[in-house]
Amino acid sequence: MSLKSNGQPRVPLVQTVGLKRYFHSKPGILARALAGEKERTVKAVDGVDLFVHEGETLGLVGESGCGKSTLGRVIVGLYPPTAGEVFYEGRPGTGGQMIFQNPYASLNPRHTVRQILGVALEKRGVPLENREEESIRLLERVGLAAHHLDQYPRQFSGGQRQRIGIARALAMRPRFIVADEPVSALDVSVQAQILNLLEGLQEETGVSFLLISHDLGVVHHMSHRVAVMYLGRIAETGPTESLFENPAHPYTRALLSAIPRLGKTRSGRIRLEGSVPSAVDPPPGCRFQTRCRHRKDICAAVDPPAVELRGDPGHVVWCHLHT
Amino acid sequence: MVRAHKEEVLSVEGLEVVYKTERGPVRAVRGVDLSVREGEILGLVGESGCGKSATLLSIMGLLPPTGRIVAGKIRVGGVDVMALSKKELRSLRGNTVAMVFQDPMSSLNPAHKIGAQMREALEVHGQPYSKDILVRLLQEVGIPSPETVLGYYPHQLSGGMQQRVMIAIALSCRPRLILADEPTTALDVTIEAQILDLLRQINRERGTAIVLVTHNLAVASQFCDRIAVMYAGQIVEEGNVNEVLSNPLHPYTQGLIGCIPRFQKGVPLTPIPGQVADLSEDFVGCAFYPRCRKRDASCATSPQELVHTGTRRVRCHRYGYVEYTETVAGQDWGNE
Repeated sequence: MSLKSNGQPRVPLVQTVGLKRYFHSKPGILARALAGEKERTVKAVDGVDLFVHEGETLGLVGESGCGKSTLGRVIVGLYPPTAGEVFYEGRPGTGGQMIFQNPYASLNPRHTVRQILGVALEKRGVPLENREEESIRLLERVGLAAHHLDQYPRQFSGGQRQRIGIARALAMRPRFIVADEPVSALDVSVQAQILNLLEGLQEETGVSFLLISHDLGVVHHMSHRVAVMYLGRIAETGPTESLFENPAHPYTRALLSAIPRLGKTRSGRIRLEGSVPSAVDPPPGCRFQTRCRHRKDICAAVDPPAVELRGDPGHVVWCHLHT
Repeated sequence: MVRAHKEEVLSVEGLEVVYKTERGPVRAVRGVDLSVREGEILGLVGESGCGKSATLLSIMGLLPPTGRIVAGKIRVGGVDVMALSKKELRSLRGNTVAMVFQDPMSSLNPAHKIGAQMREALEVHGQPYSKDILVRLLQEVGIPSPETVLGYYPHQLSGGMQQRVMIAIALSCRPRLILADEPTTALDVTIEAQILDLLRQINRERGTAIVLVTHNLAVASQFCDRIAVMYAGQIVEEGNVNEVLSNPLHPYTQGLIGCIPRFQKGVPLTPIPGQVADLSEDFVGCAFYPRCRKRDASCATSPQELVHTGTRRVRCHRYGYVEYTETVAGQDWGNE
């Protein structure tokens, strides 16, 4: 996917600039008095610049607690940012729809499919008399049928529930969807059905996805570009092939080498010692420096700047090794 | 290990397990045969509800009260597990066979320090439990500063470290067989790799046999010597892991492989149509028949036997008879 058309930089559909989202936890009076607990600030997202173009899928990968879900939620407007800004369609503001990991928890168990879709269609301003027809059209688009309209979520399998979640997102005719681990809760055989459905929707409508996943195989398969997140920050981003074949950040290299791949013996794996530090008190400078085997003095002192790799447009790494 | 004959540490024959549920009986395991020898790693692979965990729990005698073994024989280290008293069973667990669960946080007692929990496990099995021994056990599973960790509560450890503690406890009585039920599913990939390395090292150095239950074919492909693919309570294919994955014979195994992204651009995913079989139903013929791309009319009615072909076992009556690559034309696969 070219990032420019007619030699002019395209305006991204979605963009974040210096985006931060902190969570404050204030312990109760007893915990403060007896256990001496202090107020804590979790820096879930701590300065993220990224963009998603029209018709594009950006895969967002990282280990649990790296802030990828929080980032997705800030971008669609579920959480306000602590600092920085989100631009949607070139203007400040959030937008887009969301597909959640757990289709069991994200559908109201007391609502029928008709009601679930109806709420979204009402929000879009579809008149009452057209909603049934529109709902059926949405169901058929995601591989369900009219006879499912008056059923409740519990009457569906996991894969079917995720289809309902997708239909609900589509009801808003979004140009952008954040899909947060959309297949992690599903069986392998059903995962592929949902992934193909999402790909088909993109081909048909040109919708953009921010695909959040810990499954690097899924991300490789679905994404045009990939961003790797570590402890609240982006470590590296680039076109999928280039990032997977030529990872530049020591964390990306370790992460990619740890993936179990079918029929490939694990060779040359980079062992990553220890585990991810706490986002309450992230290390200064490069977030990865405490586990990095290439660490230099500067890594703990200075935030690494973004560096675009030579001869690899769009492949950007935040690492002092490359400055 | 240079040993001509490796002893069988686990044998399961004709195992059938039924769970009582509100919707009626669920036949979770429908005639499973397994054999694991010393030093071997067997992967039990399948999707949710295929009976892989029920098989494992049966071996440990840990089925919940709603579950019952209705047929079959289980031998661990030559001992008939089902003939044992509760006390004998408790001694078998830990001393001969130990289990590692998916979620270490819910297997460890949150109110007790790591040291106390390890001591308890050793004491129950009549093993010495001095501090030096506990420290050595933690060192063996790669826990840094073990003296400090002994004084920690589980919540002070990361998921990976908790799982290492569980493995240390499992190893404390030098079992001959470790049953690991999705031991890395709750962990991040970098930590998963560390834990699998650790289990493999234990297997190589001590000859401990391992049965790994996983839904992740890629994990199985890198970790196991042999895999058994389960569907609807039965083994549908079993063999050397590389042979099974490079040349799958059962349509379900073929289908599973087609569902997994392969890190190659432009290779489309080919989903298996439909849903995983409902185990509250009974099948006359093949349980996979409604989703199979290679079915013929007789698949719905003829019972499928697990057939030996060389080093492989396959449960598909069309295997060996028909040109296997043909698909039935004109089928409407639908979506679910």
